[in-house]
Amino acid sequence: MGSFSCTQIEKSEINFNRLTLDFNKQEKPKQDDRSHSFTYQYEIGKYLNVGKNPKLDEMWEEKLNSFKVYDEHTRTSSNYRNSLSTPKNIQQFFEECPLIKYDYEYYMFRFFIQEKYEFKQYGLIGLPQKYRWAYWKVITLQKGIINKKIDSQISDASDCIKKDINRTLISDVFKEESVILKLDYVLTNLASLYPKVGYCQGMNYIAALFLMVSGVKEQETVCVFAELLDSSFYMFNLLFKDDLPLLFIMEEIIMNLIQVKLPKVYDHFINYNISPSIWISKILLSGFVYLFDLLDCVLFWDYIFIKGTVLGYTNLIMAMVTIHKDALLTKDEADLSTFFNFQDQKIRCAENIIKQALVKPIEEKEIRRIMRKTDKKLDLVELFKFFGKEGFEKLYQKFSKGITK
Amino acid sequence: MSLGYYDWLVKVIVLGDSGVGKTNILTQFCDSKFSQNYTATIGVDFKIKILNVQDKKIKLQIWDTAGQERFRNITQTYYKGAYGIIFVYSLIDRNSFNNVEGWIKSILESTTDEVCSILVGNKLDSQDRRVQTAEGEKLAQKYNMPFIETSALENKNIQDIFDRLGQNLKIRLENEGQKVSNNIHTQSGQFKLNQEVNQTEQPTSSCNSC
Repeated sequence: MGSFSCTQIEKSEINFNRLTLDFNKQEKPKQDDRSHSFTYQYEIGKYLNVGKNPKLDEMWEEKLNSFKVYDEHTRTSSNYRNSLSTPKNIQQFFEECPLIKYDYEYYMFRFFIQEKYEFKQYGLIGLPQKYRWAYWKVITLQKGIINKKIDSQISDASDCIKKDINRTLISDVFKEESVILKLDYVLTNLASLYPKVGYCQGMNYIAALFLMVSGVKEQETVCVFAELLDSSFYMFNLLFKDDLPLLFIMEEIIMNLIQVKLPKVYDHFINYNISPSIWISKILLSGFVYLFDLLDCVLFWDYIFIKGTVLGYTNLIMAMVTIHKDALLTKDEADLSTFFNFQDQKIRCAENIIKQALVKPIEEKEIRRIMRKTDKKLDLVELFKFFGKEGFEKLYQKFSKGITK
Repeated sequence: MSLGYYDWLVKVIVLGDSGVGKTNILTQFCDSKFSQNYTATIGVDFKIKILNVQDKKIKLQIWDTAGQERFRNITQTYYKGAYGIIFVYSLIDRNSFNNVEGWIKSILESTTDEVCSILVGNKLDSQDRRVQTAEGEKLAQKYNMPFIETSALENKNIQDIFDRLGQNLKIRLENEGQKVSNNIHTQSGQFKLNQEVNQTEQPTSSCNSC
């Protein structure tokens, strides 16, 4: 698989309406499927009740069909691939890119390559659950890490993974031995592929979420996670490597933004001597999973895949503080520290937070401004002075030297 | 969440390797429950509990920390101002015991403040013991701190951790009352007195300890 260009060009104008999801309408698995544990595990991604909207399904199907190469009748009902009088390059594509298995994934890939901006706009309008994993795969696909040899190996991280593997209970399926083994496979392989990152607590939650959405496809989960670790757009290697440098930069950015945009909230935290970093670190390192409802996390991740780690996380955290600012001002120290533990409180709020994030996104220049002004001695300050500008990619490669592939 | 009147507000940190049961000890102490579906702590967590020590009420602000080495930078930022430290290891994890001295040293390097500490060997319920009681006692003696073996699962000796820590905190707080008063207005001071000014339930009696 070659190296695909994935420049994340942002256009400032957002001209679309996010479609409302109905959580009561949900594709139900057959009773027989659910009663059979193994089948259920493999289908779980398909049946996650992230919400449904028939218009969304229709919009996506129409769009993906527009990328069909040939309009011949399908020769089998199972997939389109057999219907293609396949040009060699398409056949070769499937051979060289095992991450793309189905025709709708191939059409999605073409959609991404040919209409990047619209591809992202479609994602922000909403994703049908059946296409979600394909979307996540395609948007992260850059270097084809799937081609690298992936085998379970013993690494220094193994002991840490072993400790956490049985306490990643984001869903009951992670009580099942076969699923636990797949999570172990993902984390162990990531640690092998990126020895300087190894394993950091929090990665287990993100990997578990991806496994759920993928339908417990462990190799594909490794690939998507690996792209996040590699890419300058997501920079996960700098988030999880020793000393967690991206975490500290993100905390600095978000604290500054809260201070400027929500000064009363900021002062309230200071008065109680509680730092928002107590939950910012949980959100960043666990990909929201530690604090939020699992299905909310899926929606948050749609947004993060489109916006990237820095802007994605920042926009969402600022949106969630903005929405809850009045409530936060009434809370004392103990309640402030646990305020956003929405998972325990069984509160679902992703749609509102994402809508707010879309209304008031943080601009790249604001991040550069914060970095120019900060007096904190943080590892990545120099890098983020160039955030969104020419030269950032080159500097990123310097900071990630020896970590990324 | 106002917990009413208290005499002292004290910051306590719980330290130890990943998976030794720090969070379960705190959940058992603060919420009287033990979760079989426990999860690894990311960064730090925070709990409040009022501890009655004889005629005094000590408001404990307890910081539960992630045990993985990689989080040391985060957890160390919470060392400042701590007056009580609970060092935890697992009786069934030899490495976690071997690493206790590393945790103690990290405190010694990070703060010059005097702290009240206690050493806790957790998972007493397990049959697969790898650290003997005498070893724990010896280590505690070396660093002049009390020692206790506990089971968060069976709620065994959990209250005792905090009772013994509370006794020592009270003695020190009373003895050092003057020193505390001098430091009270410094940012992130070691501990504060009569914090109830910001609370809704103003005490009818004044603090009689200092």
